[in-house]
Amino acid sequence: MQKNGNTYLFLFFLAIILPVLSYSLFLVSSSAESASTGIITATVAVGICGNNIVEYGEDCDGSALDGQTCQSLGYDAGVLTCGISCDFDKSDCVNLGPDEGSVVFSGKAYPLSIVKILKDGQIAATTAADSNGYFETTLTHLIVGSYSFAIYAYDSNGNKSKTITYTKEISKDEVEEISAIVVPPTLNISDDNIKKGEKITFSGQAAPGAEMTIDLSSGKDNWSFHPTAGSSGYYSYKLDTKDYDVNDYTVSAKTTINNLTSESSEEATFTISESSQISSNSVKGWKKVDFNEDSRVNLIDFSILVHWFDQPSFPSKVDVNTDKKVNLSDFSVMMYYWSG
Amino acid sequence: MKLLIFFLTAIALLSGSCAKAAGIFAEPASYFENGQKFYEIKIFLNTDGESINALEGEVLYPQQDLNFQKITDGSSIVNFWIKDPQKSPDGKIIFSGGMPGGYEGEKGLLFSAIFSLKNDSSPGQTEISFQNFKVYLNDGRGTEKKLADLKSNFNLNEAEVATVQADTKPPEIFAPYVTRDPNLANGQWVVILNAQDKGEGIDHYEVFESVKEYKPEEIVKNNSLPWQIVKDPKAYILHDQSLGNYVYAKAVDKAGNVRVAIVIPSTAQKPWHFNYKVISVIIILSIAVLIIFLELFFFRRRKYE
Repeated sequence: MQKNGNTYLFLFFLAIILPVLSYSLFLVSSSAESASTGIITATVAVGICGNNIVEYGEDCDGSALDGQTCQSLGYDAGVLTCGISCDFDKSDCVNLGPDEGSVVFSGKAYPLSIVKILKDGQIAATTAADSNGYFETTLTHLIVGSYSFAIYAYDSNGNKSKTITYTKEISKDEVEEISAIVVPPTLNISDDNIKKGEKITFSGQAAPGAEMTIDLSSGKDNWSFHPTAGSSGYYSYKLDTKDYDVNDYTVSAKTTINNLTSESSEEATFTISESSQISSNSVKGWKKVDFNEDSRVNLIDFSILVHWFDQPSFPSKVDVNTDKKVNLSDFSVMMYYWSG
Repeated sequence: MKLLIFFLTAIALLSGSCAKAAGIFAEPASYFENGQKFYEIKIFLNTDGESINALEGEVLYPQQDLNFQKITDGSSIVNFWIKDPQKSPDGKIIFSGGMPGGYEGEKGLLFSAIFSLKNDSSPGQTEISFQNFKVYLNDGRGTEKKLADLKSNFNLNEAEVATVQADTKPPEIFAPYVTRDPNLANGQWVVILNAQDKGEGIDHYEVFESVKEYKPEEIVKNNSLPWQIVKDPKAYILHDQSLGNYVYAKAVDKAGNVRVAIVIPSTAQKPWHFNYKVISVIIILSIAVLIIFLELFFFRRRKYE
């Protein structure tokens, strides 16, 4: 009987203490989240659905819809909301009257790549290329007027291409076409500091079978290399640096397919040295202007930059080009890497 | 005769280069509205074969002859203004902004400045000057390219008379961004507003926070609501930092057309989300009750065995 009494007592405490403990944990995590902004950044990094910040792998989060609307998702009107799994709830989106104007986009990116189309700087459509890299999508219900469209793609490693832009006048009930788009290839270099005599690899993704041109320059000297992309769109070129001077080099790539040549990719730079050097750990590429570290360069980053624009003191990360000022030069870098 | 043709060609080329030299240039037009004549000076960018993604500058106009009325930028190639084109206290029109991915072309509209004539002036030869004009290359390095001060001369008497249709279309549907960041407004929750308007352009934004849910058509017609004019649409600090309110954002274009966007509070949107951490408490409590039940069940079985 004593044993039974102890068991009941134990179970009673279990029933009381466990909820109290877990609720205490809840309180601690709540207060930690709201206590300091540093903690908030940490929360962003782990990607929680329910923190009102859109992170990698989420369409939306709470009130944050990542700049999307019913219209940007192909509807005429309505209120877009966020579902419980941080995906869009389009149940209140509606289609209304006839089109005002449309534009069809088509061209080549990389096999099975994600292609984004921006309308006046905001994401208006997301589509996927087929296994040949071909994509086609239509933006409808565009109010008559002049538009700036920008297009970029992500390769299978998640690298963003350079953005290409088009300006188009949209007329009522007309279907405009922007065709023969060739998305510039992505470009990676194996190292940005290399010892003379070692090999450096230039690689990336383009349309399958595309003829590549890799342009290398240093001062007034220029070289070109011409690998061919494989069936999956990957290309690679290994350069032996033994015949190259110790110096700084800039490299870019472009692709030619069906007699259409893309714009050059984003440039990459590297240094050939006499001795091995540790690669710089400085933040590079689009990450320089992703101030809130949500893997996007969009209105939030723009607002942060404008907040500190021409101010005497500012967070160091906002001074992108490290000239001790937050000015149009920093803004220009942001416009270059803009993802919407 | 050949000499005359040569001179005429040279004059034509020179006058053309004066009006449309690489950089920035202006073209006039005119229109009537409510019986009054207005002059529209369109400011264009010629990138001269380069891709430009940011620019700034100042436009000077003859203040003794022209009354500044307004700026329209609905069809501008500039998507994001850091400094909206506006008349400064010293009478210049100042602007700075940019476009993602850059613009390359010979005639990209930046904005239009609308003027009327001063009472005692008559239209004639007019000079528009551009100064402190800088462009930035779309090269990922923010390379600045300063251009020489330029002037556009034209005769307003010869400005083409255009037929202007009233701007009756509201701004395009837009999505407010609700966010917070340590580097923005001291880490408070803010709403960021950015709408596009293909007519005369966006004039201003207003925000109204409420626990009550209004339908979009209902809130547009309701004039009794205390809308707040947004001074900084790039970071409007929300009054309700718990995000429990509906946030109604209104974009108003320069013709007075309105578009309303609604941010649904996260608590209303996902009732479970408000208590998602409490759910863990409930689960643990349920497990505890289950353990008690199982323990009682097996205890009694053992007892009767």
